[in-house]
Amino acid sequence: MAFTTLTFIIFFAVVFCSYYSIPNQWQWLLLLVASYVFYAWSSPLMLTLMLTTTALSYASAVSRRPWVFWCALLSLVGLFLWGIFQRSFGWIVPVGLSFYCLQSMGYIIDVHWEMVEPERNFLKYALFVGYFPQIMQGPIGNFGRLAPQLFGAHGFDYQQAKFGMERIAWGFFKKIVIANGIAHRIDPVWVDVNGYSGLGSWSVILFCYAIQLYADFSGYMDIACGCSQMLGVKIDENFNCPYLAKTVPEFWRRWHMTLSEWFKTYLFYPILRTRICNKIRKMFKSTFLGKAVPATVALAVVWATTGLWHGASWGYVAWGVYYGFFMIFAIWMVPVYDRLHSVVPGIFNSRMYAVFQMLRTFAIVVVGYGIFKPANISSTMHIFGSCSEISSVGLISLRLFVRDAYPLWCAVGFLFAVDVIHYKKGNGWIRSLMAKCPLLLQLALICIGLIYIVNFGTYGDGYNHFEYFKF
Amino acid sequence: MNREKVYSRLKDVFSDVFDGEVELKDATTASDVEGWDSLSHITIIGAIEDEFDIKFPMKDVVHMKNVGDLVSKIIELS
Repeated sequence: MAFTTLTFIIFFAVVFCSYYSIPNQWQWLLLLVASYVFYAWSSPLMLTLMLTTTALSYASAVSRRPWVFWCALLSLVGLFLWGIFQRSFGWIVPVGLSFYCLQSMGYIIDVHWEMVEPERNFLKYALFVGYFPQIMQGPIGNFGRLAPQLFGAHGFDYQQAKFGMERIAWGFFKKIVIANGIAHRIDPVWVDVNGYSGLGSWSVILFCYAIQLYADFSGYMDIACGCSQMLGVKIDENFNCPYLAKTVPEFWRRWHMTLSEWFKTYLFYPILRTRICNKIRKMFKSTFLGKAVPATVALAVVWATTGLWHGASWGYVAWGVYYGFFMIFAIWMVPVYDRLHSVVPGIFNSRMYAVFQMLRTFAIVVVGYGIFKPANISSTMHIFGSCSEISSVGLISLRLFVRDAYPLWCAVGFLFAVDVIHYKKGNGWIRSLMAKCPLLLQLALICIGLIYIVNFGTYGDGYNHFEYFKF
Repeated sequence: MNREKVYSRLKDVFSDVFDGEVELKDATTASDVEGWDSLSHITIIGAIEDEFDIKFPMKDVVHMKNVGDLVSKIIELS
C-alpha cells in the first residue's frame, strides 16, 4: 500500500478518525493493528518475516543474556544479508526488511549497552518494529525516542493535525509533481543506458536523477512524518537540505540522517573503540595520525557496509568505495585546509567560497549517482566513458526542456527556494510564518498547491513506486 | 577528585586534541566547540580514558549530553 494511492488515503483517514475516537489507553493497540494491516497488504509471507524479526529481538532484549544477544544479533545480520542477496538476484524481497532489521538490531544493542530498558510487552514492542508510517522506507527509529510517544496517550491537537496535513501535502507535491515528473521523462534512460552518451546528456540526466531521488525519498519522509504528526507521534527527521551541504561528510549528516546515525552509533564508534584502534591512537598520541589512522580503518568498514546495505552488486560496492574515498580524503586533508585557512583566511570565509563548496559537493554527489543508479559496473563505465564525447546523444528524446516540462522546472525552483530558506532560517520557519497568516490565506495557499499537484503532477498506476522501496 | 581538579586536567586534554585553548563549562556541548565532530568525540573519549585511567561504557560514549555530564561521569568512574 503505497502512500500515494487512494487506498492509503482512505486507510489513513479511517485510522485517524478511530484513533481519536477510542479511549486513550487503546490507541497504541489500534496503531499496532493498523500497522499489521498496512504491512500485510503487501504479502502475508512478508508479515511472517517481520514477526520473526520482532520475536528474535524481543527475546534477546528480555532475556538480557549475552549469548542470547549474540545469537539474535547474528541471526538478524543473517536475515539482513539474506534480504540483500535476494534483492540482488531479483527474487522476492520483503519490503522494508533492511529498515526494520537495522531498527531491531539498534534496539537489542541499546538494551545490551544498557541505554534503554527492554520492553516486556510483546505487542508494544511489535508496534515499535512495525509502526506503519516508517516501516517501508524508514526513518530508522530509535527506541528511546520513539517508544514513549507510541505507547503514550494522545488527545486531538488541532495545530499538530494541521501541521501534519500540510507536511503530507508538501510530500505529495514533491513526489507527484517533481519526482514522478522527472521519472516519467528519464526512466527510459535506465532501460537502455547505452543509447545515451556525451558529457551534456549525462550531466543533465544525472542532475535530473539527483533531483528525482531527493524529491522521491524526502517526499516519502514528509508524508511519513506528516501522518505520524497527525497521530501525535514525532518521528526522526531524515533530511535537512542535503544538496546545500558544503562538504561530503556534511552531506551525509543531512541525507538519510537516521541511516548515517545508525552507522555512526553501532559501527563507527565501536570500531574506533576496539583494542587495535586504541593501540594505534596511543601509538601516535594526540597527533593528527592518532586520529586519522583509526578513522580511516573505521570509515573503510562503514562505507563498505553502506554500499552492501544498498545491494550485493559490484556497482554498490564501487559506490561505497567512491564515498569512502571522499570521507577518508576529507580527514587527511584537514591539516592542509587548516594551513590554508590561516594563510588566506579572507578567501575561505567568503560567501563566494561557501557557494563554491556547495556546488563542488553537489557535483560529487551527482557524479556518485552515475555509479549508484545503474548499480552495475559496465553501465557506469559506459556513462563515464562516453562523457569524453562532445555530442549529446539521446538528450532531446527525453523532452526535458519542452513547454510541458515548464511547470516541473518551476516546482524544482520552488523546492530549491524552500530549501535555501530552511537552510538559512531553520526547518519549520515557513510553516510558522504560514501559521501566522489569516486562515483564509492559509487555505488559499494549500488549495493552490493541491491544484498544482492535480494539474501538473504525474500520477496513476506505475507511478506509486518509491525509489527506496527496493532497499 | 573534585570538579575543579577534573576541569583543570580536562582542559589540557581538550587543548591537546583541538590544538588550542577550549573554553569549557558545564553547559558546553559538542556544537559549541569548533571541530567537535563524531571523530573528535571518540578521540577525546580515548584521551580522557588515558588521562584518568578509566573506561567509559558505550552508553556514556553515545549519550554524553554536555561537559558537565562528562565531568560527573569521570568523577563517578575514577
